[in-house]
This record gives sequence, C-alpha cells and structure tokens, in this order.
Amino acid sequence: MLKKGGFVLSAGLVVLLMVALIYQIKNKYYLDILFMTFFWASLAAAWNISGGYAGQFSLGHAAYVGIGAYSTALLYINFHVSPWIGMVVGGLFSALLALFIGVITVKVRGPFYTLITIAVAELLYISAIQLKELTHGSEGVSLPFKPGWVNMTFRERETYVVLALLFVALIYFITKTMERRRIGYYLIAIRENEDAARALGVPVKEMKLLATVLSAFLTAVGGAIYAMYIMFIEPDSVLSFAFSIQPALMSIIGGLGTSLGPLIGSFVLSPLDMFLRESFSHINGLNLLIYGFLLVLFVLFWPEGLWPNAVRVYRKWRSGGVETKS
Amino acid sequence: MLLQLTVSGILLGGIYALIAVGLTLIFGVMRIVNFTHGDLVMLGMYLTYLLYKGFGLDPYISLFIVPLALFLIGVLIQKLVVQRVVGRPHEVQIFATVGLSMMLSNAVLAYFKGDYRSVQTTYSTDTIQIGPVFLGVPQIVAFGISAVITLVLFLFLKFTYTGKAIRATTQNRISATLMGIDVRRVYTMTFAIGSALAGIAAVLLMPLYPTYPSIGEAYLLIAFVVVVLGGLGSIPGALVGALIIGVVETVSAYYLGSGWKQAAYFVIFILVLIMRPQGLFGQRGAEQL
Repeated sequence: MLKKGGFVLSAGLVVLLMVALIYQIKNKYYLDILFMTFFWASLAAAWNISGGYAGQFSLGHAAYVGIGAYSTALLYINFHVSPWIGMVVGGLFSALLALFIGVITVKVRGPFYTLITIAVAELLYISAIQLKELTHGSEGVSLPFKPGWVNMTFRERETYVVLALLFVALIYFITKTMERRRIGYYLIAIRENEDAARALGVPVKEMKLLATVLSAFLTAVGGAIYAMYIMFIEPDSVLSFAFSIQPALMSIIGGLGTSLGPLIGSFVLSPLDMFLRESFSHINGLNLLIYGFLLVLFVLFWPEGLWPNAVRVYRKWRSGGVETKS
Repeated sequence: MLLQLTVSGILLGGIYALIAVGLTLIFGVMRIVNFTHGDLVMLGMYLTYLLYKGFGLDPYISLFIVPLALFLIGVLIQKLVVQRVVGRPHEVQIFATVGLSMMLSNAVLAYFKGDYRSVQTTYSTDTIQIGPVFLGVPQIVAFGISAVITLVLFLFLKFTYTGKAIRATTQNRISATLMGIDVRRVYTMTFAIGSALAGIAAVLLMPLYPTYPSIGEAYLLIAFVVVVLGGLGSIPGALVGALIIGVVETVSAYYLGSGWKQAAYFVIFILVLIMRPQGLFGQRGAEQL
C-alpha cells in the first residue's frame, strides 16, 4: 500500500499525463466520447458515495443533475451570475433537497427509499415542464456562446474534457480520503448491517445524511458542467430517468462501494454507449436494452462488480494460484 | 361536476386495483418489490394491440388470451430472474428487476419505435347517462370486469389449496415450508398470477388509452402509490387505495390540469410514507422489511 503522500503524487501524475494526452487528440468525436466518459464517471462516483458506501439506493439522482443544470443556466442567463458560482448554488440547492429527502426517509429502507427518490425526481421533472415562467418548460433554455473562463465557456472542446477529468479526480480523491477515515468505516458498517452498526454506536442517521448530501452536491456540480458543455437544457435532457439509472448501473457493474469501481464502470460502458448509438442509430433503445441485460447479469452472477473481481484475480495470480481474502 | 369526477375516478381506480393487487400479492409472498410490474402492463397492452392489428381481435376477446400469455411470461421471469433474488440483499432485488424492466421497455422500443399505439373500437367513445353523470361504456365494462376478477381472486385465495398455500407463505415462509408447502411453486404461482392480473388490466386499458414503450413506468408508479397508501401486502388496502388514487387522478387532472395530475399522487405517496408508512391497512414495520 502506498503512503498518503505517494498516493496523491501518483494520482496527480496520472491526471497530468491524461491532460497531456487529451491535448494530443484532435478528433472532435473522440473528445466527445472522452468528455462523456469522464462526465458519467463523475456522476457514478458521486452516486457511489450514497449508493455504494451508505447503502442508500437512490434512483432519483436525475433531480440533482437537473437542479445543478437549471440553477447554473438560469442564474447565468437571467442575472449574469458566473457558472462557477451558479454551480455551487445548484450544489447547495441539491444538498438541501437531499437533506429533506434524508429526513423524511429516516424510517424507511431499501426499496422504499428507492421509490421515494424516484417520486421526488418525477415531481421535479413535472415541475420543470409545468413551471414555464421559471424554466421555459419543454422549450428549454439555450445558453449564449461567450467564450471565457468566467463564463465557463470555451472554444476548444479539450478544455471541457480537462474540466470533467479534474472533477472526476476530485470526487475520487474525496472518496479515497473518506475511505481512510472514520466516516468510511462507519458507512461500510451501515451498509453491511445497519442494526449491528447502530448497536455498536455508529451514528447511522447522521452518516447516511452526510453521504447523501455530499453525493447530491457533487451530482449537481456534474449537472452544471454538463449544462455548460451542451449549452442547451430541457427537462428531457437533464431530468431524464437515464441520469438516475446510469450512475447506479455503472457503479454496480464497476464495483459498488469501491473508489475505482464507478470509474471503471464508466470507462467500459460510456464508450460502449456512444458506439451503440453511433452504429445502430436506427434501433432506438438498443443501448439501454444491453445496459439492462448487463445489469441483470451482473447483479445475479457477479454482484461485486468488475473491479473487486479483477483485484481478486490479480491477487490469486500473484500468490501463485492460492486464493486470498481481501 | 365533482360527482362526475368522483364516479369516473372510481371506475379508473378499478383498473388500477388489478395492477396494484398483483404487485402487493407478489410483495406479500416473496418480499420483493417488483420493478417490472409496470412493464408487464405495457407488454399486455402491446399484445392486445398486436392481436387487434394482426387478427382484428376485439380487446374483449383478447381478454381470454393476453392474461394467459402474461401468466406464462410471469412464470418465465420468475424462473429466470426473480427466483434467484429472493432473500438476497436489497440492491440485488432492486437492480435485477430494474434491469429487467429496462430490457423489456427498450426491447419494445427497438421493435415498435416510440410511437403511440391505440386500439380504436366502435364503443371507445360510447357513453351512457345515469342521473346527472355521464359514463363511458369501456370504463364501466373495465370496472365490472375488475370487480369480478378481484372477487374471483379473493375466493381463490380463500378456498383453494394453492390460495391457502399462498396465504400461508405470506404469513410465515418458514412455517409454510415446514407444513409441507412447496414454497418455490407458491412463488411461481404468485408471480404468474400477479402478471396475469397486470395482463387483464392491460386489456381493459387498451380501448381507453394509447400505449408506448415507456408507459410501464407510469403504471409502476401508480401501482406503488396505491400499494403504499393501502399498506404493503394488504389486498383490501390495495383496493381502497386504488379507488382513492383513481379519484385523486381525475379530480386533480380537472382542477390542476393534466400535466400536474401525476404530481398530485406523488405528493400523496411521499406524505403517506412520512406520516403513516404502514399505510391504511398494512402492518407496522412492513416498510422496513
């Protein structure tokens, strides 16, 4: 195991290397794939903080993406507030909503929590369509193209890709730090056995709230970055069920409750998604059909996901065929 | 007007009851929240549409075919997926059925595209007048059939061996096993019956509403709202809950506009889960499973 300084240094080097590589890519389509891969990785990693570590299986994270995107876009076009500030405001709104959901769901568990999060996300979707004075309804909001750092608007696609990469790195760093501290152990204890954790004195309620609020904040920031990248938002693009299901799916396939799992899930699934959309554009829904199939396959047969299985295979190989417990 | 809306709402609630009863039955017996339930309704609607389009079959004749097909689909889903997740952690149960739901709705989307499909019957818009209230003929037929089916289901659960086995398993899985009940078979029967009920509801809905690939999500959420309102695992609760939600839907669609009608029952759903999580008729603690 690397020492803490060594970890930060090596992670920093990897990020720097990737930034250098990004500027070598000239093909716009590849850059788009990279952006989407990093973007989905960040949403998955953010979802994983509450879904993977705290065992709060939300299928309503689209609400946070939407709040982040809409807060940023509306503050920007109506009051000329810089998106950098807008995304923090969106993050805070999302955190508040997550706090509210967390408080009302203190007594419910498992599927009921999932259902409430779906219902809240649907409520927000309906509101975004109906409250036309605020959100322009289904017409959507177009963002003006005024390049500059203050406006978080760039001529080169590379800059967006780097931005998304740095954001993923930030969430990874937060997760990794959390894992090594008391909160990480608390959360894993809650996920494994809530009653036992409570009996041992783990502040279950507070820890769950903390994880969901953090997850919501980060998801909203991701939504803001996405809005600035596509420059046009509407309820169907930023509040769709896809934003709720895909982060969960990527975390599960990559490895639920591991720091690298969600990133690996996105690195495998996002390019696959783009490829399927590009090559089979005449077949609607093929990507989601395959996603659904993979999801069923993984939860039934490899519920730990890709990353823990890969680690196990690697350990087995290193120890010369003897299986070791991680 | 309020009387008209209430009566229409109750008729609509009759169909919702069929969907919700299936969901609550499956939950009661297997302790699984079935996220594919709405997609079973969707499949039933498409089957009804295909039978109408391909063979010119009236939806009310499909009533003898579609539920049977759904029964078999239910057996298949139970054997292939659901059986493997009984008793496993929440995330496995939730995401196995969510994944299956994605597969079903997107397979239909890939094949049929996203267009709305509907069955136009000669009686789709027929109405009769009772006192000051106008009622659609398909609505009345749907309500009547739902009521009969619910009664049959009730008698089935009360008096047949399989029905008694299902109720015994709901009460205590382990004791039921010890009494010599083949729990696995009970699971399959329950899931298949729940699916067939969704199929009946689908046929009854088809003369009234168009269908599209993602419609399952809407019916899933309605069924959940009903079940949570009535109390999870409780069949009388599901019936009462369905009628309430039916009325809420018609009344809120009239006063708030149809765009907001879903919002009304989501708010009820959230309120019920906060204030009375066991529902109107449910057992305390069921929501914590």
